[in-house]
Order: sequence, then C-alpha cells, then structure tokens
Amino acid sequence: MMQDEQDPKTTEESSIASRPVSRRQFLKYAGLAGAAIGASGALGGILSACGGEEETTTTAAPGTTVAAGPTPPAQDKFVIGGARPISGMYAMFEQAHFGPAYKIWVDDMNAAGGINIAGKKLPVELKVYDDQSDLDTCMRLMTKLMEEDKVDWLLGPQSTAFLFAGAGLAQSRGYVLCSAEGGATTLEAEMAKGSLPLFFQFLNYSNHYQLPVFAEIMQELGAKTVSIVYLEDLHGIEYSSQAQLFFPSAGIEILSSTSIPFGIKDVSSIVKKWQGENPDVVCGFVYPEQYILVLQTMIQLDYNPKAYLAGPGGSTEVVYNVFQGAADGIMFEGAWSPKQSPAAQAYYEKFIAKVGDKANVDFWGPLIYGAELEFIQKCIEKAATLDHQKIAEVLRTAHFPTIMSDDMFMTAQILDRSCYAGQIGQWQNGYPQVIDPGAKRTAEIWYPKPTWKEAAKSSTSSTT
Amino acid sequence: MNIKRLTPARWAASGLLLVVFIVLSLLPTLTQGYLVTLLTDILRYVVLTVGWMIFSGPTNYMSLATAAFYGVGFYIAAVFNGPLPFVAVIIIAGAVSFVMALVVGALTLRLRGVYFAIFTFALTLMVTSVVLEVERVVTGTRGRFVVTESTQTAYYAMLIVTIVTLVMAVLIRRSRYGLALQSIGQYEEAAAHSGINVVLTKVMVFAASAFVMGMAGAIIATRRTYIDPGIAFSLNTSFWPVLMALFGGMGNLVGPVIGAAVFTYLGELLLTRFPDLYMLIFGVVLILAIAFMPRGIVGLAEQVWGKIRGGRGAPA
Amino acid sequence: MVVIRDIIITGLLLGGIFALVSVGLSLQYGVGRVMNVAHGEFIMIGSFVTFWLFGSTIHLDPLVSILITAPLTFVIGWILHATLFRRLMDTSPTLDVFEGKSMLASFGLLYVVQNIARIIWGSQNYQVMYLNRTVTGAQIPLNRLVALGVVIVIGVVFYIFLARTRMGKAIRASSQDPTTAGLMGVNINSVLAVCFGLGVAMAGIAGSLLSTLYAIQTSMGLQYTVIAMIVVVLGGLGSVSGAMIGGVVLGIVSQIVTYFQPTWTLIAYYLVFILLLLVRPKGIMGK
Repeated sequence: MMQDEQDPKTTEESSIASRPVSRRQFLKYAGLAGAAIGASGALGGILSACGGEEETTTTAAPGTTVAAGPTPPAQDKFVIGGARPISGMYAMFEQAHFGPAYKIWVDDMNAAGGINIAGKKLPVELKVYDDQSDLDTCMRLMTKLMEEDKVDWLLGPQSTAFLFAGAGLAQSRGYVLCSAEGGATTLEAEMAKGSLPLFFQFLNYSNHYQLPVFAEIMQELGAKTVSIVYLEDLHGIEYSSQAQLFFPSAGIEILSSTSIPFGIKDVSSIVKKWQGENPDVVCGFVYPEQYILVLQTMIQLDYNPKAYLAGPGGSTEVVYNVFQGAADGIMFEGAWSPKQSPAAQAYYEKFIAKVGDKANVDFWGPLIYGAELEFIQKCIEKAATLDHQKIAEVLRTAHFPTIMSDDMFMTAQILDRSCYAGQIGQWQNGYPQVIDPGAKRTAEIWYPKPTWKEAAKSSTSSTT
Repeated sequence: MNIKRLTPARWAASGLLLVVFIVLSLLPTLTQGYLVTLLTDILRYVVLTVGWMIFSGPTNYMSLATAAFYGVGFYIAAVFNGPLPFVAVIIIAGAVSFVMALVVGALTLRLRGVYFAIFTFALTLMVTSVVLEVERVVTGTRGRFVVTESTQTAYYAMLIVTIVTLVMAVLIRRSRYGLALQSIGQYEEAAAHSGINVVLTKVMVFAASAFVMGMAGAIIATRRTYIDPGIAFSLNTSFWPVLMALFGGMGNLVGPVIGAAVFTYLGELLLTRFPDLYMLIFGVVLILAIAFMPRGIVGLAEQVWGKIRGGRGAPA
Repeated sequence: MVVIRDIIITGLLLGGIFALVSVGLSLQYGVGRVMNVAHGEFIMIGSFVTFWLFGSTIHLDPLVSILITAPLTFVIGWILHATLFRRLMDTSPTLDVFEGKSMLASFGLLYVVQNIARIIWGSQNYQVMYLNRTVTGAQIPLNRLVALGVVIVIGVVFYIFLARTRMGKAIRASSQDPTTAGLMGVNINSVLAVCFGLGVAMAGIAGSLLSTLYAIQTSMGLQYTVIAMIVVVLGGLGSVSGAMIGGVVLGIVSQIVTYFQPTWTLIAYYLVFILLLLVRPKGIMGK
C-alpha cells in the first residue's frame, strides 16, 4: 500500500483539472475543512489548558529504555494507564471488580515509596480513561495511552471481547497486556501459535477450569442431568459450548440449552420448560440483569432445582442485596472466600474499604487481581527495567508467593491451575464458600440446596 | 452563494486548502505517533457526517441507519480482508452498503419525518440482532478477528475516502440532484409535480451516502483486531453524525466537517481529562449548543463575522 | 391449551408493562412533538427513587412511593419544557426542525441525567423485592398483575382528565390544531409544559413499578426508550389508547416467540415494528 501516499494528491489534482466549475466550491469547502481541523486543535489546546493537569511526559517509552544491566531509569515516575468502563453497561465491573483492585495496588505501592526499578523508587501515577463500555472507544484510548502518553504499564480492559481486541493491539505496540475481567478460551489458539508473546492471562474461565471442576462436583454429588440458559454474548456462548464438551464426558446429560438475548423481559416459559424436564442442576450463564429475572421467576413459580449455578455477578453480594436469604445455596463461578487464609481476609477488608460498600464485593476476581498485580510488581522489580520484552521474560518463568498462592507462576502464559483459590463457590448463610473437590474446599456442599422458601425463612435471622 | 467572483478571501481559502491537503498527506511521514490514529478517527466522522448530510441535510429525512451501513463495512472487512486486497475490500464494502441502502430506500418511500427516523433506527437494531443470531448459529461464537492494516495504510485510505466524500457532496449539491433534493425537503408534492423523479432521486442519493459509510466502516474495522455486532453496529454511530452536523451547522458543507472534527476531539478530551464527568459535560454542551447555536458553529461564526464587518454587506 | 393460555396471560401482563413504559412518550410526542430519547432515563429515576425510599429507614412501599415519584418527575418535566423545549420551539422555523432539535436535545438530556444518577447510585444492579409471589391457585405473578392494574388506572384516569377537565380539553385542542387553540384563548405554552410534565410523570410511575419487576441499573434507560418507541409507533403516535394496544400486541408477540426460540424475541419486536410501519405507517390506532 505504499503507492497510497501518492493517491490523495492525484485525486485532488484530477478533480481540479476535470471540473473547473466545481473547483472553487470544492476548494473553499475543503479549505474550510482543513481550517476546521486546525481550529479543533486550537480549541483542544485551550481546553487542555483548562484541564489543569500538566501533560505527563515520560522520558522514555517501553521498548526504547533498553537498559543493559540494572541501570535505574531516567524518569522519576511510573505511569500506569488504562481504558476502563467508568460509564455504560459494564460500569459495575469497574466499580466493584478490577477497578478497586488496581487502585489498592497503586495506593500500596505509593505507600511503600513507589515501585523499585533497579534500586530507584518511582512513585506511581494512574491515568485512567473512560471507554464508555464501548470497544471502539476503548481501542482508541488504549492506542492513545501507548502511543501518545507512552505509559509504563497498561491495565487490562474489561470483558472478554475487549481483551481479544486489546491483546492484539498491545502486542503490535510492544506492550505487555495482562488480563483483567475476561477469559481467553478463543485466545488460547493464538497464544499456542506464538502470535501473542506479550499477553498473559490470570483470571480463570470456562475451560480453565471452572466447568471441568463443576462437572467433577456434579459427579461427586450424583447429579445426572442439567439444563442450561445462556446469554447471546461472548460469555454465554463460550460457557454453553464448553459445557457441551465437559458435561457429557463426565456422564452428565444436558437436557436443554436455551439462549436468551439481552433485554429479555419474561422467562416464565423457560422456567416452565425446566419444570417439565426436571433437571438436577440448572446453569445460568447470564449477566446479573438476566439472572435476577431468572431467579425471580423461579421463586415466583416455586421451582426448586437441586443446584443452581450463576454466571458473572452471581459471585457478588448483589444476589443477597436483591434476594436476601433466598440466595442461600446458589452456586457461582469464582471463587474465593475470605475464610481461606489471613491474607484473603485482609484483602477482603481492604477491598470493602475501597469499594465503600460491603454489598458489592465480588468473589470471583478480586483475590486473583490482587495476586496478579502483586505478581506483576515483583516481576517488574526483578526485571529491573521498563523494557516490556524483558518483563515478559520474567513473567513467563518467575515463581513468587502472593496473597493467593505460596507459589504463583504462569504455564504457557496462563496462570497455573494450582495457583487459584477455587473455581466454584456456593453461598451459605450469606457467606461465600469454595466448594472445589479436594483441599481448596472451605465448607461442605449444600445439596440439594434449600428451597427458596426454606432459605428465605432460615436466614432471615442469620443475615446481618 | 451570492458571491460569484473570486475574492481575495476565496484565493486565501483555496491556498489554505492546498496546504491542508499537502500537510494531511505528508503527515504520517512527519510523525509516527498517536496524531495519525486520531486524525483517522476524525476523518472517519467527517466521512460519516458529510455522508449523512448529503441525503438528510437538504431533504429533512433524518436517517438513523448510519450504523447499519457502517457496520456492514465492518463485516465485509472481517470476512474478506486478507483473502482479498484491501482496496477491493473497501470497494466491496461500499458497494454492499450501497445495495442495502437501495433496498431500504425503496422500502421506506412512504415514510416521512419522525417515522423515517424511527424506522431507520429500528432497522439498525434489527440488523444487529440478526447478525448476532446468525453468528451464534453459524459460527458458534459472537465476534470475528480481522486481518489488520497498518496505521498509515488506514490513514491514507480514510483520507482518500474523505476526499471522495467531499467531492461527491459538492458535485451532488451543484447538480440538478441537489436542487431536486432541496425541493423535496421543502415541499415533496410540489417537487413531484414539477417533474422531478422524487423516488429515484431520494433512493440514489441515499444509496450514495451509504456507499461512503460502508467504505469508512471497512477501513476502521482493520484497525480493531476483533469485532462483534455490538461494536460494528453501535448506536453511537447513528446518533453522532447527526449531532456533529447539527453542532457544526447544516447550512453548508463546512459545518459538518467542522462539527465532526471539533466533536471528535472534544469527546476524546473529555473522556481522557474528565472520565467521571464526561457524559455530564458532553450532555450540557450538546443541550447548550442546540438551544443557543441554532445554526451551529458555522452560523455562530457568520454572525460574529457579520458583526465585525459592521453590516458592510450580509455574509453569504 | 395450557401453552396458549399461558402465552395469553403472560403476554397480557408483559403488554401491561410495555404499555406502562410507553404511555408517557406517546403523550409527549402526540401533543408536544418531542421524541424524547431521554424517556427511559426518567423511568430510571423513578426506579431509583423508589428503590432508595424502599431501602431507607422508612421502608416505603413501592406503590405508595408513586405518590412521591410522580410529582417529583412531573416537576422535572415541567421545568424542562418551560425552559429548554420552549426555547427550541421559539427558535425553530418549522415543526420538522423542532422535532429534530428536540430529539437531539433530549439526547443530551439522556447523558446528563444518566451521569448524575451514576454519581449518586453507582452502576450496580438492584431490585426491590416486592409481591414476588403468584396469585394463589394460578401462576400469575402478583407484581406484574399490579403493574397491569396501574396502567389500566392511568389510562382511565387520563381519559377522564382529557374528557372532563378544562386542562384536558385544552390539551386535546392543542394536539389537534395548536394555532387555532391558541387563538381560542388556550395558553399553548402552559398546556405543552403540563403535557410534557405528565409524560415524564408517567415515566416516573413506570419506573416505580419496574423496580419491583426487573433488575435496575443507572444505564438501563435506553432499552426502555427503544421499547417505548416501538410500542408508541405500533399503536399510533400520540394515542394513549394506541400505546395500550401496541403494548399488548408486542407483549403477546414476544411471548409467542419466547416460547419457541427466546433469542428471536428482539428480532421479532423489530420485524413486527418494521412490517407494520411499512404497511400502516400511522399505527394501529392512528388516524
């Protein structure tokens, strides 16, 4: 496409030559178009000045600061940038999932005097832009963070689709990208090909290893049949197709798999279908807006499966906010529990302080994010450079203890299975418990779960 | 346009134009940074806004189907870029959008005013849902990876499409189609009686505007790595060109261009400077602009210019 | 038979919700020519005020909270029309221009209202658990039945208001022929402001009830605006009874499709809407 460089001029000249009459008009308009672009720049300048804050000028971009040996970098601060959903439909994730985690991280680093790069402590600065939950805006702002702001580290974007797009974008700009919310099922093939050497996946997801573990749990409980409802989006489609892989091989029959769109307003016919099928387990691979409707309809029709597995958001205390005691016994994709360790308990308390509201804490991601960010910091400090290629080398091979695991490390750029606090959780008496088979389990599984009415009655006394 | 002679101001404007296009075409060789990405984005909105204006400006038919035509471009790029050369992909995207607009235009002949706006709005929503469902059933997933092009390639392609759009807009305005469109906007029945083929004019111009929208979509898609229906058919894409045209002023073609440029830049500035208050400030600016600048930035500028000249001849 | 009975019952109930969401918009467009894109945002405000009152120490019953949300949203709507939309009317040369501008101004309003709500209530999902059980003996959810009841009451009250009161007559006159109504001594500006306020108040009431039916979120508005637009155009722009009929039609269509293939529900909404618009642009009840 190099010849393109000539094209604009040719087009312009040919239009002048062939159309003498329209030339003046065209020239006038196009001239004003140019002036407009200039004017907008000027306006921008004025507004930037009004913004108050000085432009961040980092002296070196990652990739250019190739320091041989532990030479401290010339710059005097470490800038972390991210395009995150401050507004729009995914804003709840920024508010209560990855958002508080990175803010805690930055606070902690600054409390310790900054991040230590080759013996020099750099104070950390956050630069977060609002992507409006819009992928197009997110990609543009990530490009800006890398190309114009030249930030030293990039935060992961929210949701799986954004992660897919962001991984390729960061790779092409020579930036390491570590996942936030979002799974990597589809990216695994790309990673195996070696086309994304700078991408690292920390959060667990469907085949890594939530659904295999859930299949094990069902086997252990003697559950034989399952009905699925899933949202017509990346999360829902991914989980339902992975369920088709893992459940039958564990001897569990899928009776039905129903997809629903965003904005569905009545699911009573689906719940009635389940009443007819009578499965042991119902899986809802849907977002809060839909599972609240599904659960509400199940309560209204007094339909009680022996277990219900909730998708994203089922792991937050929002379920208790809405359903109070009736939420007891719901299983969720996750999972961690403050009871697991003193470190987890301490992180839980920090998280509440940051979110400002107990009812919003999530029991899928936060402990992983906390451990992830701690791990990243240790890797950067070990690499003793801001060169992302070198940091990636360390990330690939390093072993460090973190708040989640005594030995945290990556296998093929994805966090090793042994490092997770758990894959599946269950709400019991208003409290999240990990129910993975083996040593990670924090409480016995309630199976069958109490009926909606029993749960609502029994825990009116126990919830605070 | 009552001034017909070349005035010094016009010579200056022509000179400025030349400088601007030379600068724009040389820009990627001068800077490697984010400016090129930002300009690609601004030019994208210039294309969409001017494209929207070509049809909706003179006729007063407010189309909200921009996202549908633009999104079709995205999908064409996702399917064909790589196997086919980029240039071919862009042209196919434009052609498919063109045909789609022909069909939509022919279907909506009976609709006027707010009905047309709501129809095109619902059309965009329906296309989104249908693509979503087709993807779920056929490909078993939701999105697609796109073969990407370099920042520079996308920039030049967008620059060319911008020029094509501007030339097309000027030509249509100056042709008999332009006059026909305006008379349709003023009084459609009268236009029909005066011998204008109302149907053909409306449909052809609507399709022409969809052509450039589809091309813009195909180019932007190659900068996104991964696309899904929510991204391709984002409702913002339908509303923003309308807002930009209104913000700039709908009286002539300068308005939409300025509107698109200022709006895009302003939006980004707010998103990055005031992420928490972005929507609030944006909304207030929008309301104030609509309430107090009825003829947009260009109208305001003309007013101010008129005052400065102290009544020595009314501005064009 | 059970299936058909279920589809009709749930479809009617859902239709009641759709009608509830839409009557306000119908009024705003029918009389005031404002295609209010921010309609859903006022539904959101109604929902959150109700949620907030329910969660507060007074633990206010969602039905009672209508007595607070309706006047509150009415005042907001009245002020908006008396300032912003009146100005747009004064500066627009034709009705077409006014329709375009008021639609875009309401788009700005959408941004402002949503941002303020996000600052106050954050972005989590909430819901008011209220009457979440079925009527004894039948599988009819009580909260939906209440919503249907309220929309019928609104319809009847509004009908009486239009037919019997002085203001009602002025509104009818203004919607048919504003110029003549003005000549006959009707204060058009105040009629339009009251109408717009009533439309917003109906959104507020709808919001109060929706908070007991669905998860609420500060970014929830636009989806209800879209539903309202479809219903209003289905029934006929400006016709309150049309909005009711449009709501029920959409509710039943939605339940039939959901029964066979839930993912096609939204496609069906748009398809029905597009087909109707092509065949009968004025809507079911349009003149």
